[in-house]
Amino acid sequence: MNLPLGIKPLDITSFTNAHGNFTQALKPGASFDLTVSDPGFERQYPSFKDKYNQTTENFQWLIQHAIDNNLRLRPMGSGWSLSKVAVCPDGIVNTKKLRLKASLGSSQLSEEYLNSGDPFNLLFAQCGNSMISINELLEQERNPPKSLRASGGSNGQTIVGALSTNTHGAAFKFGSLSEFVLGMHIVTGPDRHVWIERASRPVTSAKFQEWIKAEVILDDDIFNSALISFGSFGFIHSVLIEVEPKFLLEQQLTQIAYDGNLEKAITDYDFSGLAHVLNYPLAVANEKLYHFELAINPHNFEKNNPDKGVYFRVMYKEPYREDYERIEPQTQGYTYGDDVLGLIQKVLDQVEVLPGNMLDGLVIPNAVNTLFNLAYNRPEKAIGTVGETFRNTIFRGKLYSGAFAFDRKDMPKVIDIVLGNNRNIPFAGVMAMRFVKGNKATLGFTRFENSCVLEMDGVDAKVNYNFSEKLVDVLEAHNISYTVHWGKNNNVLNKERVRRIYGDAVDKWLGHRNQLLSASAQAVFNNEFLEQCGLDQPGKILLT
Amino acid sequence: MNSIRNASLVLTLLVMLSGCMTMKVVANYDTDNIVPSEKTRVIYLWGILQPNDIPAGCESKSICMVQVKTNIGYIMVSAITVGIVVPQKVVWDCCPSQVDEEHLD
Ligand SMILES: Cc1cc2nc3c(=O)[nH]c(=O)nc-3n(C[C@H](O)[C@H](O)[C@H](O)COP(=O)(O)OP(=O)(O)OC[C@H]3O[C@@H](n4cnc5c(N)ncnc54)[C@H](O)[C@@H]3O)c2cc1C
Repeated sequence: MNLPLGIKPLDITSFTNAHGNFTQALKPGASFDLTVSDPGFERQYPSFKDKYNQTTENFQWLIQHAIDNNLRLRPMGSGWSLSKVAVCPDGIVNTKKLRLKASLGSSQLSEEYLNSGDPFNLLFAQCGNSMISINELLEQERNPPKSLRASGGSNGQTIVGALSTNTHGAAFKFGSLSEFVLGMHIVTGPDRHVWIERASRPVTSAKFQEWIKAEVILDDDIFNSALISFGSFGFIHSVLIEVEPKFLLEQQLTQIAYDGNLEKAITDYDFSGLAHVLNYPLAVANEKLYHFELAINPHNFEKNNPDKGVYFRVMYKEPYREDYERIEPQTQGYTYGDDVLGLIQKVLDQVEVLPGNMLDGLVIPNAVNTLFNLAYNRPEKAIGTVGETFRNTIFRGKLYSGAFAFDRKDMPKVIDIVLGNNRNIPFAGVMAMRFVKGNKATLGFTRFENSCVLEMDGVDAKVNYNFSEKLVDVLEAHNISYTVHWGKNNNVLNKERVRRIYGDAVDKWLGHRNQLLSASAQAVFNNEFLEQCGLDQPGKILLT
Repeated sequence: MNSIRNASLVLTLLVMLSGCMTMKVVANYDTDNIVPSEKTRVIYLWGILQPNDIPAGCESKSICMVQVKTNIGYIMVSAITVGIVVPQKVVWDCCPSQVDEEHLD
C-alpha cells in the first residue's frame, strides 16, 4: 500500500489498554501512525503550516481509505481509557506523534478576543501533545510561564484524548479540562474539515481561518456537542486552549471525621465547620481553595469517628514563586508490583465461584486496607505547579476504575447507598469524591452545575463489576440522577440508560454528528461502544 | 484457625497465579507509541553468547522507558540450566520527538 508521507503502517493485531482491562483484536494492516517528525516528512514539509495542512490531508486520506475498504477507525490518544471508547474491531490511529504547537499573534485573533483576553494565554496544539509535554512547555519554556487551568489526577493522556471523555480533576470552581477549550479543528470526512468556535466567544481571525483552510462554524450548540464526543465526530486535529499565568497548588491532606460539618462542605461548599482544619483563616481559604477531594476506605469507615473517617484533600491556589520545596518522585523503597492488583483479581474471581462465597467478606477488606495505606502514603503537605502536582498515577497495573457523577446535594444519600451496597457486595478498592464545576457539553458527564464525581478504584475483578451494576440499580430505584464517566469502566451503560441520563441531549448530539459527518464517515467512526450506548445511529439534523 | 486456612488459601492462589516481575527505568513518562516495543532474547553460557543489540526503532532516536521483565518460567529455566540458558524480556517506549513551539503571526 502506498501511504502518503506522514502516515505509517502500525503493525499491531491487538491493543491492550493502559490498565489491562481489555484486549481488542484488530484487523492486520488496518492501523496507522501519523507523524510530523519523520525526517522525510520534515524535509518535504519544512514549515509549520505545510506540516499542519499536510496532516489535515493525511487525516482525510485515512477516512477515504477506511470508506473504500469498509474499515472502521478510531483515533487514539494514550490509550488510557478503561472503557472500549478508543477502540474498534478494525484499526486504530496513533496520534501521539502529532505534537505541533504554537502561540498565536494578534493578527490570528478576533477583535472580540483581543478586547477581552490576552494572546499570551492561548496555546494552539495538535491532538497528540501529551498533558506532560504541555505542562513542561507552559511551565518551563513559555516566557512568561503559564499553567493549565485544570488537570486530571495523572498526566499521561493526550490533550484531545483527555478532554474527549470529559477528564476532570477536582477544580470545583473551574471545572473539567473541556472548560479551557476555545476552538477545535475537526476532520470530519474525506473532503470536509471544520474549525469550530462558540458564537458567544469568537477567538480567531479570518487570517487564522484562511491558513487552516477549514470551513468555519461559529455555534455554541455544535461546539458543545463536539467538545465531548469521544472520537465519534471525526479526527480532532487540534485545539485552541486558554491557559493562565503560572501558579502553585499548596496541598493539604488530613484525616477527618465524616460528620455534619463535612456534609455542609460537601453539599454547599460551606467550609465554616471545618475552619479548624484549614491551613488558612476561613475567608482566605475560601478565596484560595481550588481543589476539593475526599478519599474513603469503605472497609474502614464510620460516621463521626475521626479514626475511621475520610482523607480530606484540598489544594490552595497561590501565585507562583521560586522558593518552594519541589515534590520529588519516590525512587527509593518499594511499591506494590504492577501485577499485584491483577493477582488479587484472579484470587477474587476464584473466590467468587466458591460455594457460599464467604471469603469475599474476609479477603477484600484486608487487601483493601493494606493497599489503601500504600496508595495513600502521601505527604500531608506538598506544594507544586500543576505539572508537578498531577503526575503519574498512584495505582499501578491491572485496575478497575469507575466514576459516577452526581449533584453534590445528593451526596449524603449516595454515600449511604454506596455503603449499604458495600455491605452486600464488598467493593475491592477505595473510593474518592472529587468535586468539579459542571460543564455545558451536550454529553458532558460532569453536567450537574456542582458535580461530585464518585470514583471507585480497585481490582479488575468481577466483584467490582457486580458492585457497580447493583449500585446503579439502587440509585435508579431511589430516583437519584447520575451520569457515568465515558472513559472509565462503564459496563453499566446501555442505550436505555444513556437516553434516561441525557434525555433530549442525545438527539442534539446525534443531530450535530449527522450535520458534520456524512453517513459513510459516521460508519468509519462507529464502534461497539457507540452501539452499546445507542449513539451510532444518524440523528435528525437540528437547524440552529 | 479459620483465618490461617484463609490466608494459606490466598497464598497458594497467589503463587499458582503469579505473573511477571518487572523493573522499570524511566527517563520521562511520555511516549510517542500506544503499544510498547518488546523483545525476548536468550543469553547462553553465562553470557559467553549474547544476543546482538536490538534496534529501538524510535523516530526520536531516544528511549523514555525501559522495563526488564522476568517470570517464574524464565527463572526456572535459568536455574535448571545453571545459567546456561537465561531468557530475558525487555520492553521499551520511545520518547516523542522534540517539536518546539512556534509563533504564528
Ligand atoms: C492512570 C489513569 C488515571 C486517570 N485519571 C483520571 C482522572 O484523574 N480524571 C478523569 O476524569 N479521568 C481519568 N482517567 C481516565 C482518562 O483520563 C480518560 O480515559 C482519557 O480520555 C484518556 O486519555 P487518552 O489520551 O489516553 O485517550 P484515549 O483513551 O486513547 O481516548 C479517549 C477518547 O478520545 C478519543 N480521541 C483521542 N484522540 C482523538 C483525536 N485526535 N480526535 C478525536 N478523538 C480522539 C478516542 O477515540 C477515545 O474516544 C485516568 C485513566 C488512567 C489510566
